[in-house]
Amino acid sequence: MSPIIYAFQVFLASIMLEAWLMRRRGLPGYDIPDALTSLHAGALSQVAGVMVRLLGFGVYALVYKKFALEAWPTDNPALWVLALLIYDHFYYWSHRLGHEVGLFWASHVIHHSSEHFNLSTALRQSSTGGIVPTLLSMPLAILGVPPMMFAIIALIDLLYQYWVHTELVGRLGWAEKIFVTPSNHRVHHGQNDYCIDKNYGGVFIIWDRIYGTYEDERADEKVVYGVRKPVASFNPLWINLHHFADLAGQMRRTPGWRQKIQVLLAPPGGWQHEAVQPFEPAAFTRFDRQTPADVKRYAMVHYVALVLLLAHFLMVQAGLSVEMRLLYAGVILGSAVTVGGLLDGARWAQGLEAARLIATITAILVWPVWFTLATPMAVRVLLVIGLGWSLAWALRADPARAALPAE
Amino acid sequence: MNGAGASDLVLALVCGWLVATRMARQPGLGLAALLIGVAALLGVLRFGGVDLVTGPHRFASMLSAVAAFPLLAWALRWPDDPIASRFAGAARAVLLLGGIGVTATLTGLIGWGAAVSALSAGVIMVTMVQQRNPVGIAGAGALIIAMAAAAAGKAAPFNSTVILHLGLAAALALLARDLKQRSIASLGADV
Repeated sequence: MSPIIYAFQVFLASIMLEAWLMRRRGLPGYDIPDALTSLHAGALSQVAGVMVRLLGFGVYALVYKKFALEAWPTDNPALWVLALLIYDHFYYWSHRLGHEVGLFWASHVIHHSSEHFNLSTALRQSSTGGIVPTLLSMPLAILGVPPMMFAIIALIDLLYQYWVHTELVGRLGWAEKIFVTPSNHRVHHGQNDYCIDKNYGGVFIIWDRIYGTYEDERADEKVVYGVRKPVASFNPLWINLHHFADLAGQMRRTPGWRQKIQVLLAPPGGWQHEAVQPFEPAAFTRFDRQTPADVKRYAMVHYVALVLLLAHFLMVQAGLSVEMRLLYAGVILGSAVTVGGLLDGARWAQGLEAARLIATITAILVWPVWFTLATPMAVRVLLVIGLGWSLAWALRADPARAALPAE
Repeated sequence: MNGAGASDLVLALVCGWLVATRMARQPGLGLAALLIGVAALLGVLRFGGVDLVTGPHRFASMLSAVAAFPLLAWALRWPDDPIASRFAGAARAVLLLGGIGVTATLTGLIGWGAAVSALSAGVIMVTMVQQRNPVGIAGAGALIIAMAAAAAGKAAPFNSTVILHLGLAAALALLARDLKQRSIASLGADV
């Protein structure tokens, strides 16, 4: 079973704990639509990971099988630490390229699109990335790090990065010099002038110190999170794709095929690093659609349902045909997109949500086995009642009544 | 050391000279030479009896085929393009070309490397012919002979590995010499 299924339970529990602690301390940490958008993005990235990231891992395994120097023994703890160090070094570069190459930034920008910084932000991951870090890790395969060791190390590196997405932890003394910490990672997520393109490390911050991209958090200037060109949406599909759309537009406007390629390879600011407007933290206002409270509650309930679907998908996907896997992925994507649309106050979302609920109710009624899961009649009845209630709400409510409409 | 190892040493030396003299001014050319040079150095070890490096040598050779040759072609045809004239541009091109090429080759498109190399050699030859440049044409010819020898493999009546290495070494030396002359000429024109 995917370890992410277990990790997700820890993630959700810790997010609720962090939200409670922040509320208790009077800190403005969580915005429900923003957090739900991050969680939707996290769920979609897991679904996409099944399809895309496996390719990267498969290539790693093939490189190891055909070209490795000599297999590393897996019973030596020192070799695990060494492999983690080497992996983290390549992670630094793949992360840095994610910021400094237009095409890769289009994939990574989603992780920086939240204007809040909390544990849910850690889960706001891309559904379109994943291959570049694996490709950059090929030297590990050549050196002889076995695929399973590589997978575990990559997971450790990824999971470590979860806890550093918080404002609750201050500076950590000597650890700031060696490890990625909440303080130096806050800088990474900032859009203040001093924060741009800094602190790319995954577990160790030493790479930033070596390559000159380290920056300390400043006490005299509060970090403002997000990106200079805000995505201004809670739609998880759009926040995954909006920068690709921007790149496509830029390529259309750029004459000549070689110049079009440069749009993809150049840094987001171009090869000449065109000057960006100086940032004024005091003048910044966060994106807020004034989403009505009942829409937030509805979205939270349906997120719980989405998590259950995701867990089931990850458990059974290996035994599903490609068509059924795509269908199940489509069910999860549809749910995240329509609920995101409701949070956005988009008019289209209400009709689409009703259609989604009707389709789901129909599927439950006519299909006693939900993607290999045989559901007892009592459960199906309860599900139909719950979805019927949701349908009634979706048909009655006008999610755009108080929200600022989506542009 | 056998003939393959000795010829790989010649290739590694030519690449080392190019890396040392061109990386700063022509990073596209320098990086292409670095990739081919690493493969050649590993080849020196492999053909010198260090069997351990057989896998890395084959991987580096594959990476050269899918990434270094197209980068070389790009650097010779469009020397002022950011991919040729900036280290960051050249490195990004290697990452993309290498990523696509390695993935394609390992997932079944085994002719990818040969096709990309042949296309690159063709682009270089066309460029040199358009420029009516005899030294460049000789370099492109040496490159094509090297690739033809590699394609012939064991079916060839000669040691194809040695011809591949020596052909590549000659091609790189001639093409780089030509690029240097053109750079000097363009500097003169600017003055």
